[in-house]
Amino acid sequence: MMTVMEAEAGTGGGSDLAALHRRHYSSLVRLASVLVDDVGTCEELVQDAFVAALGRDHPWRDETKAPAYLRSAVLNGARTHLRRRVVRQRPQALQVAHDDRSPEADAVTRDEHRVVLDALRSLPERQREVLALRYYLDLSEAEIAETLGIAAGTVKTHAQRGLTALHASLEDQR
Amino acid sequence: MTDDTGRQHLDETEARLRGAIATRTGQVQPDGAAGLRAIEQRAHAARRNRRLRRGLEGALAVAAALVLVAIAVPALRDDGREQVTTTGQDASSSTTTTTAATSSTTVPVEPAPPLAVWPPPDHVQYADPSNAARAFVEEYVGFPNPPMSDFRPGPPMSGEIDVYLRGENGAVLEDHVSSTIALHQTPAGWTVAGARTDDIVVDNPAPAMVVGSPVVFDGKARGYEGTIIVNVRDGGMGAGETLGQGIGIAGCCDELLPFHFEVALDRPPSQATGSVLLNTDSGLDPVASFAVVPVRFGPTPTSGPQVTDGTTVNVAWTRASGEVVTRARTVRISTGVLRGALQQLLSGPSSVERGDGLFSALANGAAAVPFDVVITDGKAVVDFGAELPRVSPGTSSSEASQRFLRQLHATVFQFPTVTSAEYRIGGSCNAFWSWLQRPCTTVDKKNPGT
Repeated sequence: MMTVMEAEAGTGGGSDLAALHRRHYSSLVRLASVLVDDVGTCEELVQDAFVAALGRDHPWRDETKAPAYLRSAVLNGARTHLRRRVVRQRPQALQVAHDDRSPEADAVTRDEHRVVLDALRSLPERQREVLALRYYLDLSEAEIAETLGIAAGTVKTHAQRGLTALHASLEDQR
Repeated sequence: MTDDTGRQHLDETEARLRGAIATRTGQVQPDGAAGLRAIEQRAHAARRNRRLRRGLEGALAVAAALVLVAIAVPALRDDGREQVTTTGQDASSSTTTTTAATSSTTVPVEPAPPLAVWPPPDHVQYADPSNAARAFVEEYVGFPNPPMSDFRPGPPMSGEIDVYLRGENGAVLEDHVSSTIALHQTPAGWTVAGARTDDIVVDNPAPAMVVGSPVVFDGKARGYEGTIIVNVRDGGMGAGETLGQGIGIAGCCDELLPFHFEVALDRPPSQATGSVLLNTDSGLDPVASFAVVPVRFGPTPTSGPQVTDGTTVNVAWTRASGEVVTRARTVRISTGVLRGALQQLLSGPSSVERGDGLFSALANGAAAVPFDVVITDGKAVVDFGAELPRVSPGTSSSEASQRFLRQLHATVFQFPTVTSAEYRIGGSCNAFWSWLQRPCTTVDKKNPGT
């Protein structure tokens, strides 16, 4: 299955910063936004990941390894940010696209999605990260394992437990 | 619940999760071009900092070599003709001049020992510089079990030790130096003469400078959420003790941004010497960056301007009667005078000014609110961070909002080149004025109104 990252990559070649940025920046910001509410913070987390990669003797130019490194760095940053629990609110209105749905319908949908996202974000770290990688990026268990530095079997366990906990959490709110 | 039912429930949950994630990510529209620019700028700054660090280390090594050569030369050619005269009193190095010889040379004389920050005389003394540095970080700075480098000898009887950051898993990050401790050997043992960090560059106070209350701080820094915590300590004080504490606002990210603030001492010092500790400690990291500067205490603040590129601006406060009163502050020209004045306004009156009955309509939390200023064709657009209403909710009341606007107008319109102003919150004129329960407007200097 083609992942979101691959879809963004298109057919463009090159492995320099601009090419990697073009291929992965937006999807990484969106990945972070599944876990972190503030979009500005998400962009900073992704920029941190790129800057850190540029500053190290990392297999940065190896296109087969760079995506996993960047995903891992973004998730590490998000984890640290969430642990600090200090969120500076930013104006998000400029960064959120609008559509033409009625305000009432939009509000109901937003509420439903907000409830699910809040429940996801309340899960243990590994569980929510596994679910975000699986259901946003559509990564395989092996790819998730590489990103998080854990065994593929552990990924399966986290995914199963995460979904079960998410279901229980949502049921409690009915 | 049967297996089939359970599977069905999980499928439903899975579908809801996919829907929520798709909606959320579909709403996020990153600014890719701005992101790439930010990455390039920050990567450039990081490379520059690494080059600077390598350059400083190289310069230190060269200086140490020169000192050793200077010591060796006169020892080898001692012909009994040299008369030594010393210039400088507190200089860390002095010059000597040969008067009888046909040529002159420069040799070192015993430099004045640096002020010792740690340990105090009645404390255990250390024969090993690493033990002195460790005790300093644990007992003075307040970080337990710091990861540290080996001792790096420098000029005679001195050297340095780096303090490393730790990763999330507790592993030592040896390529991430949080701070570097300067050590000096005395007859009693090794003492800490200060500490520096790339994250906080302290221009003022300089080492051994005479300070009084309030202590004026200037420099450039970057810290978590842009916050720099400062403690002024009496000689012998350790972690948890302070003569006065303050919080400064500088850069939040990679870029070092200027800071300027004052810390009034809560009580007079009991010792002739002390120190100032500046750190980026958010209380959440095991080790944060810190800078320590030894100071001497005097009866009054040091005379003369302490900001080398400073200029005086007015900042407006109010009295209980509603009267608006301006007080002069020194800000850096390089910061931008309006920006500097507004930063002072957000930071609130000093303790001395508060003692004079002056206060601000903004709450203390406003000091940490970021803002931006752009002046175009005489119009100043002042854009405060979106959190301003949250950190200063009381400002929206009828009376407080009038006071705040008078403060703001007086601060902004003191500059002849500013003839009108548009105030915003989070980029929105409506957001600013609705916070103050007024309609959006551009303020004219001739008739600012409240």
